Amino acid sequence: MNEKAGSKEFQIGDDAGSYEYVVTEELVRNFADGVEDHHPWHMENSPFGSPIAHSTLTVDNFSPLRKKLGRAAESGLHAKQQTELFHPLKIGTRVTVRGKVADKYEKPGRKYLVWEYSVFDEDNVECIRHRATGVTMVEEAGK
Amino acid sequence: MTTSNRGLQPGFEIPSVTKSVTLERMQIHSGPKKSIHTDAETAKKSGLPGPVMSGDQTYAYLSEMLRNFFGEGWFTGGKVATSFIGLVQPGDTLTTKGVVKEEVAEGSEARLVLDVWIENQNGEKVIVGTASGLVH
Repeated sequence: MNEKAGSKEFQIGDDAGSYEYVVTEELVRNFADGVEDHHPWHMENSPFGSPIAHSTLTVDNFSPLRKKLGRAAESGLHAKQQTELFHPLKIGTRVTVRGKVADKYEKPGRKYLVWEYSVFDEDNVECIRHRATGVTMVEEAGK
Repeated sequence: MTTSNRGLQPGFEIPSVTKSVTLERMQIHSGPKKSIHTDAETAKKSGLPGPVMSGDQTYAYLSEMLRNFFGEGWFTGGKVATSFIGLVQPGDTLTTKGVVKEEVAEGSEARLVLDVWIENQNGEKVIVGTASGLVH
């Protein structure tokens, strides 16, 4: 979540708008392979009537929002993450992600940027809400 | 499969999840692009000792433990708030932990609040926070 030196700063309240994608079986399977979690609710069927995505599949969904504001998702570290789950995401759902820059602040040698973003289903029901805080690398922030 | 974990006393420890960290898994999760999570050279250029696991990958391990414990109630009312306080590198072994803090009423249901964290093979915490889910 670094910001390139010389590029414009994010501002609190910057609205990144939205983007859509489909929660495909391939997407869920790749996630399962990466985190070694092939629970049958994600691979076969769930109590919700069909297989569902892992609850943290959408955590990195702020990265495309950065790009929409003209900034690539560069290397950086997670400082904090908050998530609220309201409804599971069934495989095959076309979701819409909406988000904004919620806050930014600095501590000695470090810069923090906070994103708030939510994932909605086709009926515009909010399924998952995230708040992610990223920190720039000490070496870059301290220059 | 909503859990019936009402009435658990503070201090009760829920079942944990243990993962062995490998660069291969980090590359599956965070690749294929080279980044501090997938490539040693990129990581070292950023001042890191080597590739470090992405926060959302370790976060997924916590979520796995919470799904296993809360069941359906995790997906329809789960909450988690964490801070990432330590680096995770290939070769580490991570174990998730969850300990009951309190149970609070929420409408006709109850919300069970846990202290959660992940520690490595040396007992060092890499993520700390709280999580909660609905119990019936």
